Amino acid sequence: MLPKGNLLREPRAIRIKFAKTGKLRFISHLDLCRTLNSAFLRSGIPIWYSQGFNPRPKMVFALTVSVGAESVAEYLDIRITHEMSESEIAKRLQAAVTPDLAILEVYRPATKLQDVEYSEYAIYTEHPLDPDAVAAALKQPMMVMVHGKKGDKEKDITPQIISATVSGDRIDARLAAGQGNFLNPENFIKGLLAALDDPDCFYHICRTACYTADGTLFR
Amino acid sequence: MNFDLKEKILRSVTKPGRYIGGEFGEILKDKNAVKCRFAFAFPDTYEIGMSNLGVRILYGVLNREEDIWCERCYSPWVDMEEQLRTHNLPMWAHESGDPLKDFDFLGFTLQYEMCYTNVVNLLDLAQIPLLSKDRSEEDPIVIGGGPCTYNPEPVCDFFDLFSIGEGEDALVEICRLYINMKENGTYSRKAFLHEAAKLQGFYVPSLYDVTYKADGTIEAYTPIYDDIPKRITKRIMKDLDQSYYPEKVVMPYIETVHDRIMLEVYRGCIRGCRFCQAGMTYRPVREKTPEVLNKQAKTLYEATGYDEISLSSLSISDYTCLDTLTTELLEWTDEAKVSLSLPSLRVNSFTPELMEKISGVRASGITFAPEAGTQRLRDVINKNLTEEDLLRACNVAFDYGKSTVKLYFMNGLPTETDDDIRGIAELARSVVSAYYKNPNAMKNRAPTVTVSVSCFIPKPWTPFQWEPQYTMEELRRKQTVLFEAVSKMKHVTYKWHDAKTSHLEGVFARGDRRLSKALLAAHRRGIKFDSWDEFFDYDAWMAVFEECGIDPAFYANRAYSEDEVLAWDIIDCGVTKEFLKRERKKAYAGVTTPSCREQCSGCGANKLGGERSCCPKVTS
Repeated sequence: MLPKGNLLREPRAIRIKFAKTGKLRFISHLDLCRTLNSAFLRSGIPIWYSQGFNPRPKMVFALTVSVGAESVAEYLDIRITHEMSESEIAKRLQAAVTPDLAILEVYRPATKLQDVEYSEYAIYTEHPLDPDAVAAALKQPMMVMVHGKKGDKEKDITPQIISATVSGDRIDARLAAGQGNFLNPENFIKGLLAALDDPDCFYHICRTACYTADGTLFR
Repeated sequence: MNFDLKEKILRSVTKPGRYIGGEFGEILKDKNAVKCRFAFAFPDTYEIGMSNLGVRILYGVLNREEDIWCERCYSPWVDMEEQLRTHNLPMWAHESGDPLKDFDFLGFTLQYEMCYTNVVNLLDLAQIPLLSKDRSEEDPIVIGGGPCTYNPEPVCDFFDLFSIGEGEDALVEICRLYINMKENGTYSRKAFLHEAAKLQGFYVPSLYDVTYKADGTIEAYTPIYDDIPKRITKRIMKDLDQSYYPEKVVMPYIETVHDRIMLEVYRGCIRGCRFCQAGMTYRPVREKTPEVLNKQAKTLYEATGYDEISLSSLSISDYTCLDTLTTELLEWTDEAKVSLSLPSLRVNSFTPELMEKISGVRASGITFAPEAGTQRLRDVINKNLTEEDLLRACNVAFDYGKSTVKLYFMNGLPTETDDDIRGIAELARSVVSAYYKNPNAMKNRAPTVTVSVSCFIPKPWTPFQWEPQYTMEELRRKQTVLFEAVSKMKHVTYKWHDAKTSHLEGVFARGDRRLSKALLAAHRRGIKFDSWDEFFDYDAWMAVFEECGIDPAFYANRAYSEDEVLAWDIIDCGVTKEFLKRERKKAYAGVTTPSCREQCSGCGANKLGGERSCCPKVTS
């Protein structure tokens, strides 16, 4: 399966925005990488390989979501070695994966993946939460056990919560998602439910958008 | 938001990807538009089952039929089982998520004896009556197949029928029979099983009475109807070039044991090692042509994106067109960055030319299976391999910068003496010194020679099927002899298999249908995953045998008489008992048998036919 287009003088950067929903929410990031790896190989997209002893299709992801969570705002950067239109890449990649991994947009990026500073999440709870109680809880320091490089430690996460609004069983939360300043939405919802004295409430997380430092939608 | 129970359970177990289905390449159909629903169960974890070539083939072959829908199922891990039991949720199939008990067929592939308890457990989790005799018209037909069904007797109480031999045509045929009987109104479980028993290669154990002698051995098998065969002849695919081969693969999301293309090159084996069951039961040899194989490989690469192709067979070096095949594959695999792997290489074919071709390149080591430590014992087991061959092959590997060699052996082979055991250590020592004598070997790296030793288990359908297995105490003593010989050696690592597991495998390998009772009792004690070290509980098993009044030594450690009726005599897998007796006699005389290609040894399997085999044609 050889690339058909002309060889590019330099590998071209391509960004793929995709969704990870449905059954794919049970798949870890590592497994998603492997899935995409073989998907690129069978798609015939002329993906650029990392150089070295054991060359691999080179893929760089923006932030990831944990197992169990969905996302409609995932970003992946690749490079291509041969000419192929963005729409062709989108078509071929979609044909090589399941509908749960929807290819939303393929384009040549003008930004860096590191430009992401905030993420927006829709979090659905098993039962509606009281908006007043949530507002009150958010005014207090929220101490959560956070995994870090130096082990687990308790940390106040409120500085990383940009906004959170409740409407019935849905919370829309904008949380820090930058390099070195990242709040895992799991930690946010666990901290909130603990503060509401409702720790066993079942929930579901979906990332809906990513934003840059000045508050514009990341692209 | 409402969350269903399954969602909550999946969020609570490790590796939920094992249970969700939805992989790229899975086959979905409209359940109301199909006439037969088949659940194909692999009684071990998803990671192991998804790597099985037989399942891939049969999943494809059944789903090729428009009105049949085959789905998959695997043994849930213990955390998932706990959730299913807590919530009284029946085990489901991957594709539709429907309970297994709603299917027309539930098929199990029986790959190794130590998965039998998982079969019983999976039936239980599916909420299907465990015993065939207790099933009603509403329950699925439970069918078994795979290598272990060359002696299906130990599990026969749990199965309604078995498909003996290769299943590509047979499974479709049995589904057709089912559909036809349903459509013309003649179906009942009883009538269906009676009809099935008349088809070639189907064994319905409940239609055969077994009587026993006073000494506990079998007296006779008697069919309860006149119109069913007295012995069940296995099915084979005569022409493998024409036989169905998958053009795509269900691509697992999670990492499995073999994430690669498996290209089945041929079936059968020309060698005739006397301990090897597969070498006898897969006869006759039938090859595919390189053209067909190359095409299948390309198709599978384009459909999967796997970056490795494994050439699969019992002994890849014996494929007559290996050179042509590897040359043709390399014409495109190199550029596509796809590597070739050739497991099951024989030492005599390990040449620099082949070494250039295969990518073992990335791996730092090679593996060979001398099986026994001395030439005398290798002659007894008909493993035609000399020390000279082995050292020559190792030197080729050393020339190419390899420094690790893994050697497989068996302990407890018939006629084995302590000298044979110490011969294993000596052979390992010779490999180490060959490394240091080889001027091309890596200068700054010490060699590692791993000696991996399993315990011999007498298996049905081999010339050693009448041999007693050594007692566990004796096997342990043998392991100690080797340990003492090896422990002083530098650069040699010794790995051995637990004799307890081998003993239990020995019991079930040659067991008869009275052992079903023990499996049921074991299940009641919660025994499962016997092939997993962390679950295997030998003492619990001994308590089960005691409770059931079964002497495990009767099956494993007894010298069987050549005249007695064997549990697997009900099956005809091609090779004759006369041939096996001849081979046994030659084993004791230390006389080897040439390969099928050099000279036909008259095993009898040629009566089954087969294209591109080396067997003499049978004229009728």
